[in-house]
Amino acid sequence: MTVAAPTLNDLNIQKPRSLWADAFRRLSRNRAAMVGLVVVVIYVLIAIFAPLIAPKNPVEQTSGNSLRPPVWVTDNPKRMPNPENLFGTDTNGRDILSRLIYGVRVSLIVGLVPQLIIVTIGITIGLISGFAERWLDNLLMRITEIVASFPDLLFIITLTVAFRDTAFGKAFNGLLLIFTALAAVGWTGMARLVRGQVLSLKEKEFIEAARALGIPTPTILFRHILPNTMAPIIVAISFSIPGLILAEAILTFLGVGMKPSVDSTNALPTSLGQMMSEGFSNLSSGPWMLLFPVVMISTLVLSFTFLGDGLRDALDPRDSA
Amino acid sequence: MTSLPPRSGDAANLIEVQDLEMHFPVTRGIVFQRRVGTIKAVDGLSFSIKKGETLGLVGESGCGKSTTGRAILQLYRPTNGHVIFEGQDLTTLKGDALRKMRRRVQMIFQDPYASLNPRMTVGDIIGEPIKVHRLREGKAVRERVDELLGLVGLNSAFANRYPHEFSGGQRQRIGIARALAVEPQFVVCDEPVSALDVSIQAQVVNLLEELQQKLGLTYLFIAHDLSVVKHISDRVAVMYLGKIVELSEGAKLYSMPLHPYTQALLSAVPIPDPKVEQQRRRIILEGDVPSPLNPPSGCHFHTRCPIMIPKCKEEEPPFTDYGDGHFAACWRARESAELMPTVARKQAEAIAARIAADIAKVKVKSKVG
Repeated sequence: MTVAAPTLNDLNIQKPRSLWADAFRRLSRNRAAMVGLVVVVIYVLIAIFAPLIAPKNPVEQTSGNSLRPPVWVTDNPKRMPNPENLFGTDTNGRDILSRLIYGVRVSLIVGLVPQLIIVTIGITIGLISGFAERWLDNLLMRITEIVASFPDLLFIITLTVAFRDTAFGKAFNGLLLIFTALAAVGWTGMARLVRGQVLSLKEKEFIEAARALGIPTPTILFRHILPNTMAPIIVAISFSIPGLILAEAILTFLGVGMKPSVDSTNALPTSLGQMMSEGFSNLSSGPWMLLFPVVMISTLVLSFTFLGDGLRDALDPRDSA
Repeated sequence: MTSLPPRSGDAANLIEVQDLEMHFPVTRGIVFQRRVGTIKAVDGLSFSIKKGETLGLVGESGCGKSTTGRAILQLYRPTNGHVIFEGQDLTTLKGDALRKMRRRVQMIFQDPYASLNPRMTVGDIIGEPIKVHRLREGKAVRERVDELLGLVGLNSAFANRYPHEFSGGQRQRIGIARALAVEPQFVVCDEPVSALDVSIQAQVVNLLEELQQKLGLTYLFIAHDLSVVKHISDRVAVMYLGKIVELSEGAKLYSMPLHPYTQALLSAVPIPDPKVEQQRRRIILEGDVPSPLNPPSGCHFHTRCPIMIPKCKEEEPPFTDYGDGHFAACWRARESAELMPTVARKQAEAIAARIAADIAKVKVKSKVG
């Protein structure tokens, strides 16, 4: 008996694999990255459904209920926990668990909205710079270098202090101003990354082939070059999000970030940075006020970093082969 | 001045290249750039290709043969010279007129791994130029893609797959199908088999030959491998440092090379026959290829030429017809054949015979497999 050799047509049995599908398969085999992804998804769900999950209103103050420890801390007879406040209360008698849930919301938004602006500016500048004439490329890159050479934190603080009393500065408890400030200094890395990618892709034969075939330049940019820069952009995003979350926390901790809100209908009443700032000033009387937001922000940042590492490993290995 | 190959007016010529020059400026400085030199990658080429003919272009790496292909296609805008395609000078075309012209002249690339967009399916890769040039609309695009895949010997079910799922030879077939999608008349094959396994090379070369017959294509076939070129080309041009040093009908170039550089190249072709190899006397060229940034005076080849005379240093030899369209640029072209060691000439003959035999074998094999 002879066994028929497999022919090319046997390939039809398999489903076509796009590079994205391949990358996701590699990612799903990376345990740390999957843990990171799960945690991030949980945080995102918490942020979206905050009003449904939070047991209390995060800004509602209850007199005589301040500085209650978490429910499992029962060793101080003078300060017994209130069973209604799982993670205890702060100096104003607000429920810490509820505030944490809303805080995650703000932290994630701070990670995403400026990121969106950064990616938009970065891709635009990077694409133009990588594809345009030499003088325009030079001009754009010198501007990028100047912005990149600012001391970031100082620049953001100056910006927020300068604008905090304007209507713009007050919008969304000052969040809009923070978004703008973070994006204003954060886009340079993305622009350089995209430009570098474009420059190296431009020399690839498939771009030359597209030009030889008479494909119009905008189509070459958006169909051939941009999709091939996505992998490093995605990796850069996942590494840059924790940086933004921490930057907001630092700014608010320093008192130049988000303003505290007392409006009980506010959808973005507090951030983890603000809770850390309040907790730090009450470290001796209510250490839990600091502990919980720190744990939350650390796990969030760590998860993004794990995810970013996994994405880099999954997306980077040679495009071809 | 130099006497050039027959140009203009010959209606049989599909494409005529006249005095083509491609110089790249070398600059220093980031903000304020100054020009510190010029790389003369292609330095005054003239040749023509008849309709349905294949011109082989041979030379070692860095001699400007790929640049020539790209300059003809206007992927690089030539510094000087003309490329006349069907009576139209391509170097003067711009914008839309240039894009329309791109339908007629196409290119097959060297590296099948770099020449296909990894993020697009095979169907999109081949279908895109059809849509851009509005050669087909709607469903007919997909039908045309299937047809093209069939033409290059691939299963039409492959249209949904991505390039990384294919082998080098299959990818090269995809690249060929893409070039044919716009129904070109003239195709520049830029070392189309150099990156492939030897066993696959013959298949792809045979495919290119078949397509030429079926579709009446005209090729400029660039390669560094003399045996591959010999198989497919009607005429062969040998390039050295931005210039053509010898141009002739294929068989003649191999049996009676006039330029010492061609002789050296031929003496290095490996023959899978121990008897031939034992007697082999290679003409070994001294030194490296001089930098095109600062080419030697006179004949570019004089620094490495085994039969150099003082005149070669001073005057550039004209590109002269030594009979029946056998052109060479060498002051000693008439004597070089005698100066060439007899053993080397015998070997050249053996090479020719051997290549012919190999091709016959491979053809039979590829029909079977």
